[in-house]
Amino acid sequence: MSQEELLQDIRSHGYWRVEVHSTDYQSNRLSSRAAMQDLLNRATVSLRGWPYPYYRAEETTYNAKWLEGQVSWDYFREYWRLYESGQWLHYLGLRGARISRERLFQGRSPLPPQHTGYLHVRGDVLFTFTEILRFAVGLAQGGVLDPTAFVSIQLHNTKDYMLVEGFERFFPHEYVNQSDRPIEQQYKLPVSELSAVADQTALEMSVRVFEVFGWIPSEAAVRTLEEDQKKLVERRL
Amino acid sequence: MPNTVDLQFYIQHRREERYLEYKCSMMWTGNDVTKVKVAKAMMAMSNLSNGGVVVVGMKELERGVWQPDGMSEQQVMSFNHDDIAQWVNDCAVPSVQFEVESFELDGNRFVIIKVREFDRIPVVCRRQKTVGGEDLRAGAVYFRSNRKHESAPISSDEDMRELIELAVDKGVAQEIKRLRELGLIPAEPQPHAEPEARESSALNYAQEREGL
Repeated sequence: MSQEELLQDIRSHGYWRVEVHSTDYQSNRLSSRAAMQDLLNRATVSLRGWPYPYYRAEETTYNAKWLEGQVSWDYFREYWRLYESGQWLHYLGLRGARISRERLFQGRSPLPPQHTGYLHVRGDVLFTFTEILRFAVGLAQGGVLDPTAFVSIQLHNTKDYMLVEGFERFFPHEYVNQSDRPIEQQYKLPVSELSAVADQTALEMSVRVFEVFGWIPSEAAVRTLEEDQKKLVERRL
Repeated sequence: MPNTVDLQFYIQHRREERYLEYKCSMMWTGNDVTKVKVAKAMMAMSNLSNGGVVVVGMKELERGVWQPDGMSEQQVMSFNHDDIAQWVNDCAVPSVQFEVESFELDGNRFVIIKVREFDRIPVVCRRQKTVGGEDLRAGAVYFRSNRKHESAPISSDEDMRELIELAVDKGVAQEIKRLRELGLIPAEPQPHAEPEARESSALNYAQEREGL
């Protein structure tokens, strides 16, 4: 599948768009493919079955300006670029509209109401934000975000997606995104602070997404999310 | 005390968490097995960062899956703060700080015990009690581990380290606060203003992406 076709496919459903770079543009922070691959080897986050990003050195393409990678397998869709400047750009498809309801909610009866897609509170939102922010920490540790990191995370095409608390059980109420506007969040943080606040920032960003869907998590719910996030980062899931 | 949304969440969550323990419907009075179970949970919660919550009135359907069951008026009334405090704090040192509230959801009543994190020193059990197969161990430090959501005496170095770190952090924070109040160290530094990203940098990055 060509890059254009893959991007078109990703954009045809709900997807993430992630942009991470320094606030200070320098065109040649990563001057070779080896430097880019080395950075990705160190920064890739593997906390659950599927890493962030999907990166296999042998499956990447390099054109002297950027290294790119892509995957289109089962319900996984990704396209990413790491530029010479250290800029990271990533399009990541959501699974919740690419899998049938029956497969997504295996064994559940009755199935949840029919919606365009489904967004899992932890698996799709909290854990993804956590991985993205931790990946940004990895980039920062590789020195490509100095002195201040800019992180933009957008969630697109999730109108009529329903928020699910778990595939095995649902919220007592239906939380559905009624808006077709992208949910965009941006942060600028000195790289020295990034690693200290990454997980907390991921949690806060997740809560903002939930609010768009109409779910305002209580203090207790936030605490539970925090515990689940801890389990993820300690690989206890 | 937690707000209504939180109370509702605790009941509807239906699975125990590190900070959340469910108990079946029971009377507080006249039942020492209940008292031992609840005391153990409360001591363990008080040794957690941010404390924890015990919900009475749940029913375990299968292992790890709980559903709201509700309590009778008599059972709810038996969970009186002073009675619980007297019994639990006879076994705990320093005292466990907590609040008790009854809550109704979908026609069912529950008792919610919100336990606060210890103040300065972790809570230790000081009385040996064995009732109907349940026991409190004198000298034990009850805790809820990250690995298993169960109120039990600390048995791993990892849990002990976590508790010690919490106690040390609290001690240090209190000492810093005291020194600040005495004017012996400067007030908390204000976060510095984040410089705006240079417009030209943003433009360069956008050009580099070629519209992607």
